[in-house]
Amino acid sequence: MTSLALAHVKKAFGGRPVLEDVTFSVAAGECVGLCGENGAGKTTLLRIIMGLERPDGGEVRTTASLGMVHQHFSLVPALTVAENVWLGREPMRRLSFDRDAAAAQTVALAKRLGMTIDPQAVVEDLSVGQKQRVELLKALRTETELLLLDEPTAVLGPQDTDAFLELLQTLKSRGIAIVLVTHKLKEIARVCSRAVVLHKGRIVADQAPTLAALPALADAMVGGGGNGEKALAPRVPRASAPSAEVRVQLAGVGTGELSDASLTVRRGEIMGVAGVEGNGQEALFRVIVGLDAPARGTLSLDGKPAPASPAKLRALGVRAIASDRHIDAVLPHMSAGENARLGHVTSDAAIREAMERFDVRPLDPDLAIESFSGGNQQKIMFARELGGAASLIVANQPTRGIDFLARDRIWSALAALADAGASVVVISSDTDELRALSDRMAVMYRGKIGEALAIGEWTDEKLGAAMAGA
Amino acid sequence: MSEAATARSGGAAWLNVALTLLLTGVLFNLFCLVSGSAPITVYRALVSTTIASPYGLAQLLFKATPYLFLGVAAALAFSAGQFNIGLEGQLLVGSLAMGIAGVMLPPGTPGLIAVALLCLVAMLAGAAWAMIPAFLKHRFSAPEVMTSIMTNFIAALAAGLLLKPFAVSESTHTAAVPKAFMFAAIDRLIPATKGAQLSTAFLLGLLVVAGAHWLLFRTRFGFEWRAFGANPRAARLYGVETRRLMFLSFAISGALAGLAACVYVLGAKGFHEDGFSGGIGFLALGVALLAKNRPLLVVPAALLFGLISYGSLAINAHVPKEMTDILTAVIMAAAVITSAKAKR
Ligand SMILES: Nc1ncnc2c1ncn2[C@@H]1O[C@H](COP(=O)(O)OP(=O)(O)OP(=O)(O)O)[C@@H](O)[C@H]1O
Ligand SMILES: [Mg+2]
Repeated sequence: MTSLALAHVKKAFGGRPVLEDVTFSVAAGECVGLCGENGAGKTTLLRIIMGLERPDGGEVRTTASLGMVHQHFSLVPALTVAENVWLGREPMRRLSFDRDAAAAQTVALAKRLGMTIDPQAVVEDLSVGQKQRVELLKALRTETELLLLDEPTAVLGPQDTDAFLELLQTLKSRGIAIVLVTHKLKEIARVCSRAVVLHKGRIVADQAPTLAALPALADAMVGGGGNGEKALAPRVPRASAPSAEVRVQLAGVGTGELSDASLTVRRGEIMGVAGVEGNGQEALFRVIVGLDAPARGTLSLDGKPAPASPAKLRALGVRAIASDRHIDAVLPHMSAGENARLGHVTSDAAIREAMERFDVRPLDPDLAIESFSGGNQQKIMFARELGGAASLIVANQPTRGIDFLARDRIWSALAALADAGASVVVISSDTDELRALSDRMAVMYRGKIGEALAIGEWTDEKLGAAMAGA
Repeated sequence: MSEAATARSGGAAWLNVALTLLLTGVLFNLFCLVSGSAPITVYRALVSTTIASPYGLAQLLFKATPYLFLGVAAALAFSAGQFNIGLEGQLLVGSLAMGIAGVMLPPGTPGLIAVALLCLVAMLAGAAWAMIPAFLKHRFSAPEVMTSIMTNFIAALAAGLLLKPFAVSESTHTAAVPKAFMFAAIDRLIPATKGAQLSTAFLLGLLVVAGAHWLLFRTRFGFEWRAFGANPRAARLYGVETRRLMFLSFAISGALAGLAACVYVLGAKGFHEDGFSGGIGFLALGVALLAKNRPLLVVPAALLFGLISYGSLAINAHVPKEMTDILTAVIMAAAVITSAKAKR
């Protein structure tokens, strides 16, 4: 039985073609992986299938009931799990929202899918992994037969990703058809029977994602050219070794979720901070970039106490990449160029050059930021921040949702800054990223930062144990 | 830079204004019909008493003048994401300060210097009054919408009390400032407008509009101002001194609201009078709304409010005078509807 059939789907935005002649189908119980560069048209295609966007041509046939998990969380933080799941479709008792029924139905729904979740928990208290599960429940609340997932694993760490992919296996066995968008081909190989590759809005490959086929698929994603091996996150080459001179020193810092956190970062060093999300990484970021002052302990920069002011720190060459660009970085309804102006590029020529350097597509500074795909918005965040000289770059979950070539470009830019003497702190739940990039790495657990070891000393077992707090 | 982008969304803003006007026109016709007048007669009366006569036109521009200052004051605060609803109070305080300072200043002071000084006094007073909600927001995270509304009522009471010792006996206004301190009235230039209250304050208003536009869209400071309004968290992280900007946006907005007093104290009346404003500080919020917070668009929006405000007097015989309020409400609603549509 076919759950989704697309025939010759076309779409253009403002005269710029985004999808061309897209034809494929998905059977019930089948999971199809959809991949492609940033801006290839993946989100647009899902939105068309979902009926949120009208195609300019072609035909879309789907089952009656479909659900979608969007590229960004669409949950209301102050509401409970049950309230979020049933928002817009609330079970009613006479004229009022039946909270008990909502809770009971949430538990029942979760049970059918083999999940456990507390329906009364408030969403803002949940971990990202749990939030993503709530999103999934919400997408599945209506006996959904076709499930569209737009980069659901981008925000998840390795353990949460494993659990999430397990869940997808269960859904498949229940006959649900799934389209999974992800930049990680390994994930597609694990749960999908087919990989569909979009390149510049066209399907360039549709085949079984065997491990042997992955490099070829990766190559197809970026339009050929033999760059496929970069998808495997090889170690980023460096021109010079870190110096012994300490630039950043946290000594017993406590604020928010941080307790007694200590860390030193040298000049020219890339320090990786690993850990399951929600162990104080956000607080660490906020302290180093000056958003929060340490309540206890000290933060010093080049041996002097660091001012707790982002403006003053920026003047000292500190640069920041925030983990959630929608909340902390993007200027909504303003153009890409104006967004770039918030960083370190100021002239029109420099803005264009910076966008070009990070291969932002389309290369149009006058376009509103919302008109760029998620990955391209993130590239703009880098383009504006990594111009000019820098002494310290703090990047929190820097390459989430970014395709592997663009990711490679960003890593090289960070490595180049370190080679030039800057210190770099990369906070990430993606261990592949940390292994590719860091000189040393430390693991965060419950607000504390563990001992920083040279990257080669971290075996998988050691890292797993440290992340679990052992 | 984003010049083209600004221009593009500027175009959309103009379209919104046009749509708003169209919608208002349709509703206006309906109201006329309901109150038993043929719309065409009402329009004829409106045109002949306003734009068709030099006096009417001058009065319309006079009524529009305070909206230039106040509309820009609101638009600037809103672009920084600060909901300064205290313009009415800031205007009152500015007017009182200007009126009192006007009679205290040695009458021999050269005119230009006096005008500059008095404008400065009104601006300082308005800015100082605007510091109350700004401080409460900074210190206690008190929502400025609430606190700035409250400062309006406090200003009304306080201005009444403070006026007493300075009021001309048996009246509720200050003594008139020397003629030399006042703006030139239009009838000195164009005799046909005899009696009209329009003065060179209108030109000062246009200057304020141009200055605000330049500041907001042509300077780094204005960019940071708008960035702060668009996403305060991002602005702070990327180096904008947001606390300073919060205070500054209230101060500048309050200063311009206070400066609007010059339209009366140095223009139409020559003195500060209790209750002179008639709520224009509130209506100006509608001007900013209609202008989508763009200083240049404040000009047509202010003219429209001026037309309604003066025109309603002119067409009193045909439609009830409550018409003004209804029409203002309709325009605001239409502005909200068209801008909501544009966002989608
Ligand atoms: N509302 C819009 N207006 C104009 N252009 C748009 C709009 N939405 C998307 N686009 C353009 O369509 C193209 C495809 O975008 P889409 O979001 O589908 O990419 P994507 O494959 O999901 O990328 P990513 O991996 O970065 O999420 C991009 O070039 C983007 O700039
Ligand atoms: Mg996308």
